[in-house]
Amino acid sequence: MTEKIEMTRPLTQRLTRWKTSTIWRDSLHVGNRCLAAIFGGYLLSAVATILLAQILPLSQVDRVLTAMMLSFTVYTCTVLWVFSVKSMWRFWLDILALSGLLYLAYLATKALDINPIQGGGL
Amino acid sequence: MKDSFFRSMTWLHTWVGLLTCWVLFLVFFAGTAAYYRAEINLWMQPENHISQYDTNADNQQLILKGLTSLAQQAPNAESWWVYLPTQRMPLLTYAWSEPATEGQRFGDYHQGFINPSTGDTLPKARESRGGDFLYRLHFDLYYMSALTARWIVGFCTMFMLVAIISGIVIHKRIFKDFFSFRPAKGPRSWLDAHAASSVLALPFHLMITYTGLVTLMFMYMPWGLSTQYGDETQAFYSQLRPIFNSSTPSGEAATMLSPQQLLASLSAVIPMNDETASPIEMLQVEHLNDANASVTVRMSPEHSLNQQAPWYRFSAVTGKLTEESTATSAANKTQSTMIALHSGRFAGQGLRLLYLLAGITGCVMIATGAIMWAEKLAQKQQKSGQFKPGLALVQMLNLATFAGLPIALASYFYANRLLPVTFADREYWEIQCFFISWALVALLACFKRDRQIWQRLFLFTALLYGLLPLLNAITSQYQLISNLQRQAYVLAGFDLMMLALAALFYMAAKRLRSPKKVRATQATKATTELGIES
Amino acid sequence: MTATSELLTCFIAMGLLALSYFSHHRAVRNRPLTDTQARGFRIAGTAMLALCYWLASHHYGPAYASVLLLGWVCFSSIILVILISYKPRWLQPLLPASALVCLLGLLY
Repeated sequence: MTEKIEMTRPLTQRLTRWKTSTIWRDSLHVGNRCLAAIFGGYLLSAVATILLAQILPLSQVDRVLTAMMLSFTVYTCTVLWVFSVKSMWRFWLDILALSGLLYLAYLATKALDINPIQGGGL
Repeated sequence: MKDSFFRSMTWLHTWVGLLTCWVLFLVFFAGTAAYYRAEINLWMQPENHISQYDTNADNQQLILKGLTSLAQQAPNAESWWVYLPTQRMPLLTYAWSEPATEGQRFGDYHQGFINPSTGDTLPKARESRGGDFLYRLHFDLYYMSALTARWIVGFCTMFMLVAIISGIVIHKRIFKDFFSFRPAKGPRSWLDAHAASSVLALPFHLMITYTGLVTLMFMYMPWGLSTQYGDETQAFYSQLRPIFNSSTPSGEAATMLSPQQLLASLSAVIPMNDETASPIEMLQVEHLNDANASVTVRMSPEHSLNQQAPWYRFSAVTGKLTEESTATSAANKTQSTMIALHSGRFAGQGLRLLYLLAGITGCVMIATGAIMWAEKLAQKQQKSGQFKPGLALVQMLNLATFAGLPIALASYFYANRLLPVTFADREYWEIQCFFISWALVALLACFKRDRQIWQRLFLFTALLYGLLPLLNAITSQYQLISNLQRQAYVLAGFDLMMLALAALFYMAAKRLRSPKKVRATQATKATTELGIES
Repeated sequence: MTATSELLTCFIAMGLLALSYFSHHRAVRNRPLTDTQARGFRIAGTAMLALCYWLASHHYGPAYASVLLLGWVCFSSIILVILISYKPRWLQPLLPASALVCLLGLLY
């Protein structure tokens, strides 16, 4: 199955060509990537923010500020990455695994109290 | 996703742009107008046009007048404010808020204006939201709760950020094509106009998008804060912005100093009429007649980009300085600089005009992108012969938004002058006029979407804006010539800007007359044309 | 007057940078561009930009000047794009004329 998937045709035309089976697969592909980009991306950037807010070598106020300001960069990069990966399901695996890892790292650093400057919180 | 990274990014850029471009145009349109919100506020209250800014004004006398008026009119208010005149708002404004009654979140807010040169209180101006409506429109939208609106705008802004970054990635020849623009070449020209308006103001677009997200980041990405501070987020905010640490009222009554005494203690610490220091922007008196009554003095943020404007807090009972602004950390400065860059509060006259031009370029970027898409669809429809409902939708939205919003703004200004001063709910109805006229254009767009209607609408817009200075002359005390003569440049500038916009839309309408050639827009101004080869 | 001079300096700088491109140089001066000439234009343009920033930060302070410079670069580029697309021959007299106005503005 080496046919090129034409994504640039407008949605209506794609939907009316329901006889061809690739149409449903196209929409599924696109929808899947959109979900991964929007929600998976948010998850990853939220977890990255949480980790950075814990481990950056700054005072607590500054850590929180810097982490939150950087979060949007992480989000954008994640979105671009999701749409550039070839395999359909690979990015889900990567996003969820990475998020899990980062969250575990956060829990570990909090438990070990690596950044003792004004701890507190969840 | 596609065969190559490049094609995936192209696909992504097209779709994230298209799905949100109409909302983003509204945001850019309202936001760009909001850079001149003080000027629009002034224009929309013609009763206040009499006052003029005086660079040699005695700030001490002005503060005294403000405080004395407040002491007379609102001795039992909850808070007082005094705003000193600036070039953009040449009035002394005093305001007070009453204590909140049952069921109210905030008490009623009242304002009064004093003409700084004569010292007279100006008669009550007509109620109008003025430029503040446009400012709120660009992030709180309308007809929905602020929270919903900010999520929608944030979502679209994130889409725009992705569109910008993917646009940079796909524009491989970004420096080779830096000055290129090929007019009169059909869709190629639209692409060039889109690329030019994006690339030439790229620092602005990137900055405004990212800083927009950062400004509301406590709502969009609160996780860093909530995991570090848990329930005690107030501790974070009081460290971040100590100026907002208003003390609680102690409950015990105390007599405050009289306005003269307050002024004396303020001027002991703050340079009042010093030319080199930044001028005072406003005073706020809180917890009146309480032992913890305080006066907070904020200096003007003009020209101070990388430092927050200094502020001082005095006790209103003893007159002693209790707190003042201190140096802030690098991260704090970064965050406040980002907000300052977005809001442009620090900008002087020249830079503010550049902000306006960049905002207009952003509107052109969005409009040319959407119109290019409509053109491509139209070409495909011609080739394949199949009817595309998607094309009709895009054309309708294009016409409704790019032609409708300028008309809506003009209607807002007309409503301000034509609605009677004593009209009930005047503020509300001015805003409704904005949306009603926009809805009418949208309705029209459902039926007619061809080149002719674009041309006619642009001619109409040109007429509307061109007649605004005339309307101003009829409905207010001063008009363009008399404003220039008495050097009221804010008001004169408003009229001139309306004439410039009228000229722009007229030129766009003229361009639309020749059906044979497809012309592209001029890259500086918000002219939009839809050219379908007949 | 200094603000106008600074803006004109920026305009001249971007004009010189535009002239370092083969197609634009040919459109404006009606002759081809050699490599050394291109490099010369690029160096001259960059030097003018640096001068512009130095003048602006002298007047406004480095932070404000950096924002202002970005604004001027955008504005001048837009004017240049329009000029080169519609009336390229005008650029040739415009550059030395702006330089003259700029010098006069700085002196007085």
